[in-house]
Amino acid sequence: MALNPLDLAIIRGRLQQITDEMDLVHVKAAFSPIVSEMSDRANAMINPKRLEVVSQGKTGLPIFVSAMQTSARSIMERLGSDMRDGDVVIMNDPFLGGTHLQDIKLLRPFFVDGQIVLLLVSTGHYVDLGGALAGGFDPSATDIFQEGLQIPPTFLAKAGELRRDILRLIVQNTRLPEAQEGDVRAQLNALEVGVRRLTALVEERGVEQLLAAIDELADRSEAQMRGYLGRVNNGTYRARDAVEISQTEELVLEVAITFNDGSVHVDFTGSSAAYRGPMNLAWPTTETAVFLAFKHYFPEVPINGGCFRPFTFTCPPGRFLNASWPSAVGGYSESAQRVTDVVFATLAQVLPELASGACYGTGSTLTFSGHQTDGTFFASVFPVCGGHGGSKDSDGLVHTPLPIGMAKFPKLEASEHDFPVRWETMAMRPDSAGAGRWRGGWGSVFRFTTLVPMNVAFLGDRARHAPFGVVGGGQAAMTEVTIKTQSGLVGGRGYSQLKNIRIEPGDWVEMKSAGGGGYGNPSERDPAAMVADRRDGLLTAD
Amino acid sequence: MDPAASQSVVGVDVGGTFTDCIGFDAATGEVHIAKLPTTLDDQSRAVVGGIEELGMQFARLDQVCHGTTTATNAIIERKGVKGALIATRGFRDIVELGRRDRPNAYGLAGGFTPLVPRHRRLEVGGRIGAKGEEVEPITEADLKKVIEELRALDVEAVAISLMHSYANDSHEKRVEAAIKAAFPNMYVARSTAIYPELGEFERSSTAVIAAYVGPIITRYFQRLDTGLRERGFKQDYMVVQSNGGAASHRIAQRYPTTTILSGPAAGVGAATAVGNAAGLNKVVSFDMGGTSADVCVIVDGKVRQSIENFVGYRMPLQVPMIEMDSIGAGGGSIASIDDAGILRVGPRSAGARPGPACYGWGGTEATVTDAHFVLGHVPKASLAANRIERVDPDAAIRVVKKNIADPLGMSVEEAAEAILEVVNENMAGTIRLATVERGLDVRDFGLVPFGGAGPLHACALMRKLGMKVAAVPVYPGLTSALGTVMADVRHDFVQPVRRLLSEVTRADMDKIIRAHRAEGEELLKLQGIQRVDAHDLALAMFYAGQRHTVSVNIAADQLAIADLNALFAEAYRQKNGMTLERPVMLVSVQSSVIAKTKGLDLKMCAAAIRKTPPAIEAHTIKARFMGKDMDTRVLDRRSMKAGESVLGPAIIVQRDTTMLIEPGYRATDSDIGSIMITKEN
Repeated sequence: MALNPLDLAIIRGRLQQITDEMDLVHVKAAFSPIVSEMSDRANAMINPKRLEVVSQGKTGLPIFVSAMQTSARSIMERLGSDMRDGDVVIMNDPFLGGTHLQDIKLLRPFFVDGQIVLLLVSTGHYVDLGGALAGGFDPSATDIFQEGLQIPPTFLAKAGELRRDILRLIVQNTRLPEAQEGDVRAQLNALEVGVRRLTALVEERGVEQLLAAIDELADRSEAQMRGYLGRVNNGTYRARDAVEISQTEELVLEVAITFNDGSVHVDFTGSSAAYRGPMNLAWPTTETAVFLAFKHYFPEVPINGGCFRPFTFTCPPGRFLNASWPSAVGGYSESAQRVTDVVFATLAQVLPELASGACYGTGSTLTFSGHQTDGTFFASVFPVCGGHGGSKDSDGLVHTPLPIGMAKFPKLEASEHDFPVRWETMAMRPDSAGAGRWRGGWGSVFRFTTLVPMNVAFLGDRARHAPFGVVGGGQAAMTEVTIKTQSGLVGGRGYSQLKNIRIEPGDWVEMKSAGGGGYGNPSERDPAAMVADRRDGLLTAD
Repeated sequence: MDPAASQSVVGVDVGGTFTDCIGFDAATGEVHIAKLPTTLDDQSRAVVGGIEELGMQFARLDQVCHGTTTATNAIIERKGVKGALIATRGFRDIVELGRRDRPNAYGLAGGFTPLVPRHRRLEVGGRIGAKGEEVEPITEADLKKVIEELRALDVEAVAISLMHSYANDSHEKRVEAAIKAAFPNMYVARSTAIYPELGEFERSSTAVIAAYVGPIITRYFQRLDTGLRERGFKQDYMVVQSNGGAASHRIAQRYPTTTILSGPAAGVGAATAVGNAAGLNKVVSFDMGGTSADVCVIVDGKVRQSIENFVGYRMPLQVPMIEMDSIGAGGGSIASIDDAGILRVGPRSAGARPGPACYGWGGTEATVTDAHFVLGHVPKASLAANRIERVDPDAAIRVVKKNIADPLGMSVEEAAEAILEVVNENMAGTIRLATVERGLDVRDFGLVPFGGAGPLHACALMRKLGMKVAAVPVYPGLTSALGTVMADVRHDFVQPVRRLLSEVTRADMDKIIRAHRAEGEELLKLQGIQRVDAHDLALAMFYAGQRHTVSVNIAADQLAIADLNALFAEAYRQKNGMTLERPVMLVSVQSSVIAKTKGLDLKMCAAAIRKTPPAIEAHTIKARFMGKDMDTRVLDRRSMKAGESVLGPAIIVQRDTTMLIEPGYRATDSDIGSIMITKEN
């Protein structure tokens, strides 16, 4: 069907508005701070024929960039033939949809005249889904059974009727039943809004025009992406980095990226094998991490299945970046971030004007749990974040989300209301930035004292492999976590993981996050900027 | 003096480009208007100059009301004063660290320079806990040390923000007292004196912004006061605050952060009055200028207030402001073809200079205004009425053809219509989201379009959104100036509570309400006002465990504790479509203590505008609508009689704007001064 340029512009805008509105409704109605305050969620609509993203909410977390498409594909392969109007499918299987068990996807088909026209998908982070350690970031996990409840694609609603038995089954497997049930309802809310808006759009434009526009938009996004990729000289470029899995061991990532006239092949063959620990990745996670790295280099590209078409991959099964069930994947954010880092390191060689130094590079999740003085159970995951890399025209920012994320940081005052902790400091960390013409951002220091006995675990990285600089910039200071226990200090330099440590009232946890890598030769730095850093007490070394 | 008695009044709104003035002479019933270029170095010069141009005697003015952008400009241009921050030991960097965010979701570059650099951020001992308990006392030695450090810094202003001060402000007050004792002339911004709410970063940022702009606001207000008094004005002029209420400049100086959204808030106030006069209880205020469009949702004469506001990246400002959504869509918005080959309009703008290509100031890109020129929506008569002399309609055709029509394979006219359609769609989307977010249906609303470009887009928005009626104010281009004189005198107070509703007693609420009332009465008395016309409450609540509050609005004397659960459930249902079986927590109580202003008689404005002779004769031209060139009536607003109506397509011109009436719509000049646009069946 013929589309004029105006229809295309209008429909593109409307599709974006619909998913933006789903994002908004999801956050406003959610219970868990990780969604309502930290926005750890995404909403999208998917083309059911090609199983490609049509539009994704602008405020969704980057790590879900292609995960929604993969989830929809997995669900439709298994349940597509049974799908009826008013159905909702729930799932969290990372091997089918990426990331970890904590990310629950809900899918609702949008029907017109008995046909599925689009699929709406909503993803949200659930703080607890059972498993050995509350919160799911368990550094001791050796398989996925220890990490929580696995939900294969399952009907949560049939023909508009919520299946309360399924909801109860899920909710009974969490340590936070009320909040998690509220979060499911917030996602149902977002899907409902999506359906209502699509109904209006179809009334206005008709199905034919809508579908024609969706196909055209995907083709154009593909052409746009190929245009950007085609700027790079044909050839194969490589980078290498690592994920720390113990005090002495690491998993190696090796990537070879081949550019060929606007097509890209990404090869992870040289990477380490999967292991009995939580830093493995299900393949959809590796894929989404690669896409989001490119999206950071070319932010103009819309999140749309067409942009993914120029990419092909090689990663033999059994590599830790393509682990199989029942591998543990709870530490996915560490490895996924490292995937984006190796892609960034490769792209910095060919597109230096768009590059930035590596960021602190680790999800660094501190989990603490125990009982309040009134006996109620609490569990919290606290993200430890640091500096961003320097770039062509500016020093790196302090205290940024990882490139794979966008989640905000909790209010310390609220955290003292909710949990029996007292914060001693949250400050910038001197001498932690990578040097450069533009230096990296400073890391941070966080420290709290506990008021009750609690269990603490830390799952992080970059304690032995520093964030790198680019275009001649220097590397940044590394992660350092120290815990004061009754039997002395635990952790310190070189420790990226600390497993299930008991602390008593008066004990403390101190987390120093890594800084960001520098950009360009440090000798070219403006002397006045050095003076300012010294005056601010952030540069103390000579 | 008491504004209820005001007669001859002047309203002045200072915008980025123009300073707009409107004056009402009680003796003659005349309305005067003036538009001057804003004097960026000192806004008071254009304010005083504008009033002079109105030709009214300063000594005979009962009131001057003012909307200002001084505070905003100081922040955007980083021209605030050298200040310091005092924080709890261990937390001086909170204000730079923020809530962990990037300037953009995607893209890796970008930096941030805090308003107060690290070496001027000091720390003090003492610690308050989450329940307001003193965990560690603040000692004389702590205070002495921080005073000495402050002395060495030689600053003009200090912000104080300590941990959990919203629950117990005694440490903050002790620090403030020590500073006042040591430096009597120091400008001090204490976080809990501005907005005592949980959130260490938000409170610190707010206090830092207040310290940064406070002395500048004070000096500006004093300069303007001197300027007005030298010319014979005898009163304390009034300033519109970000919450939409007015206050004497002497009071407004105490709370400089409340003037950030001064001008836009005044415009919304006028839209509220225009809506009321037109009998509309649900109104979308739509203010479209050269660069952006501001949308505000008004229900039953009330505008929602927002607390979580930002004045820039990593700079939250926690004070009540009217809740407004902005979009980069204005007359100067640039149309372009993006990398996907799709037409895009805005958010880039040609601004005031070079402006649209047709203005002949060197603009080479196609803008929304150029599209209107191509289609004949801005006839020569309109330019004459707007006193625009240099125009080059051929330039509009050239840029639309070259930049849009040729690349997309369309005719120039098709391309121009497409540009308008896209910008209208973007704006309609913003309006739709703004109503949806509040759980409301936009089709139940009336539109109040204003700003230089608003009336050109009114019909298109009505069409896209299914709105049935629009009320175009008397002077659309001067609506913010008009709004300054319509703003009620208003003062807001907040008390954090953070307790389950089931534990809150009548006595607790009465105590808070009485305290706010007394504070409000005191401020009003300082302005010569001996009455309180309304005391409204906004009770911020959520289901225990949530983070985003939903407010219940109720008059203080209507409050019944027993009803609050049900009222909250209703408000929650309206917003989120459902309710939950959970205990409700009362997070905070906000009071607005209001003395109503007599405002303006809009009928008087309507009568006044008809007294001025029309600049043009009614005639017919060809203009393009929906792909067709149509005979289009062009008439001067000043020639329209009360009750007279015209069926679209029509173009109504006046000095400050051009109004486009699309085919199928009818414009009627009502006796309340607004032109009512309705859909013709």
